[in-house]
Amino acid sequence: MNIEYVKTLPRFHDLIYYSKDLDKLTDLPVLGILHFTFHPGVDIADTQQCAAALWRKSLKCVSTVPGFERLLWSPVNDTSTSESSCQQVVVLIQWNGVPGWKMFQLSFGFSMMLGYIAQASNRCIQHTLPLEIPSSCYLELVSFQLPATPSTPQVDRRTEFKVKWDNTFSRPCQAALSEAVLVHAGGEWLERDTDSEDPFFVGLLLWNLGAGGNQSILVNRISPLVENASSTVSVCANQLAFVSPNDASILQPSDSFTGCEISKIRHPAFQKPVQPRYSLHEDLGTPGTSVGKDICHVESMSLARQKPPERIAAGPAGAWYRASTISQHYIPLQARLQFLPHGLIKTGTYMMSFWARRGNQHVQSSFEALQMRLWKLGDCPLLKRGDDLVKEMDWAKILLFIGEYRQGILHRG
Amino acid sequence: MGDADLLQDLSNPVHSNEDTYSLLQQYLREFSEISGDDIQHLQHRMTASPQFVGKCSDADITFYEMPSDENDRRAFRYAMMNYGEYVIPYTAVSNLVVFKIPFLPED
Repeated sequence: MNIEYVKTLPRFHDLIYYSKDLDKLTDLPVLGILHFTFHPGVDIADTQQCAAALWRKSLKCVSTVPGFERLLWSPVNDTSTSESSCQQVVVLIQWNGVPGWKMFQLSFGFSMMLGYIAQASNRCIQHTLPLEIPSSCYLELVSFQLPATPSTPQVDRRTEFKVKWDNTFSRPCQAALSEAVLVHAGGEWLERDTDSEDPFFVGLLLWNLGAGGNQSILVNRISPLVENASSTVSVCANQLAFVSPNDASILQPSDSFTGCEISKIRHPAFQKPVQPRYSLHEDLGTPGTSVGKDICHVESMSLARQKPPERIAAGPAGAWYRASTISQHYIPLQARLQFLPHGLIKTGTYMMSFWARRGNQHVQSSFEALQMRLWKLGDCPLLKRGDDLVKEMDWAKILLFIGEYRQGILHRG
Repeated sequence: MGDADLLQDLSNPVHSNEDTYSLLQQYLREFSEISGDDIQHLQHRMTASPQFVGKCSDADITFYEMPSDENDRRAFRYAMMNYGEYVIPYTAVSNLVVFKIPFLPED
């Protein structure tokens, strides 16, 4: 896809996500950790909002990526009282290996949510969540950053901190935490997207009793870790929602196109569900299929070029921003197509349309007279006429564009 | 109307400024009255657009009803942008013009 150059992209083991060297790490588990902050007013729990339906469609879409094992997500438990606070969501995606994570970065991902995302974070760690996670669990993310100490190699300090975390939540210690009902306490160093990035250690705490569980026990338990860190940040999410592969329960009846304009399009292409197709490899035979294009859409546009043409690509579709481009480093801009701000119109085109029976001499002559009158109006505006190409109908739709209208004067276009 | 009439009109052109728009609407209204039932669904409206009229010989025109919510409009713009990113390089389309229609139809 011809998008803006994105300098920094997700990496795993210091390898960019499309690196062939990642094929040597195929079996390593990857847990994606995504964090979205939405624009003011967006509430994905409000079923009346388009954002809610698109969120469910996004979850469904991500669950179709090969290598997907399961997804856990939850809105962040926002304790601020500010009315302007924006909804935040944490998403954990368990991939069965590196190829799945790579495929996700190449995929549509959460592209449908772009209009609602103000900030994004697209991170990962090498980690496997436990198989059994109660549906009533709450998630707490704790991140640690270590102070700079040039005397000790960074690798050693990272290893040391990881050992401390594991010891803190080793089985005997976890027993002491039982009253807090800690289901899982995993932690790993966050994969860095650049060499210069400050390393963060991320702790994943899954509680089975209210958001944050018994905080006092936890605080005592991790206090030695906090002392070693230069900064510690904790994010508590609400009760987790789960998405499994082929999860039909994600979408709701209101998410379908029933009632929308598109339901009026009777082409068979809209009557059957579309199965997404994925490929990690270049497909040079079909233009664009490997660079962010929808293969089904490519076929649709090919049909449109047949004679007689059969246009079935009726709406915005066909290309997308890869999941890898929606991250803490970059969010695609809306700069390519210019939309003029409402109410600040300086120039424009006047357009008219009507239906007329083909060959009607009376309409033809009066329409020609109208065009002459319009042409003489103002500064001889350029007139452009178009007829509907559907020839078999008795009636034709006729359009007329009238030059450029500027502050009351029609100008030549 | 002969060439002389046309040249005469051009030498003394321009219904200036404010009344041009109302004249335009008047002409369309008269065209509607003269045509009577021979035409149907006459619509006319002002659009805010780049100067695209003179640059294309054929056009495929699609109208989208924009949502009122700004977040939804932003989502639509991303979708439309992706559509344009795809359509232009891989089809015979030379230009994709997106413009807003700022006013309601003036039937």
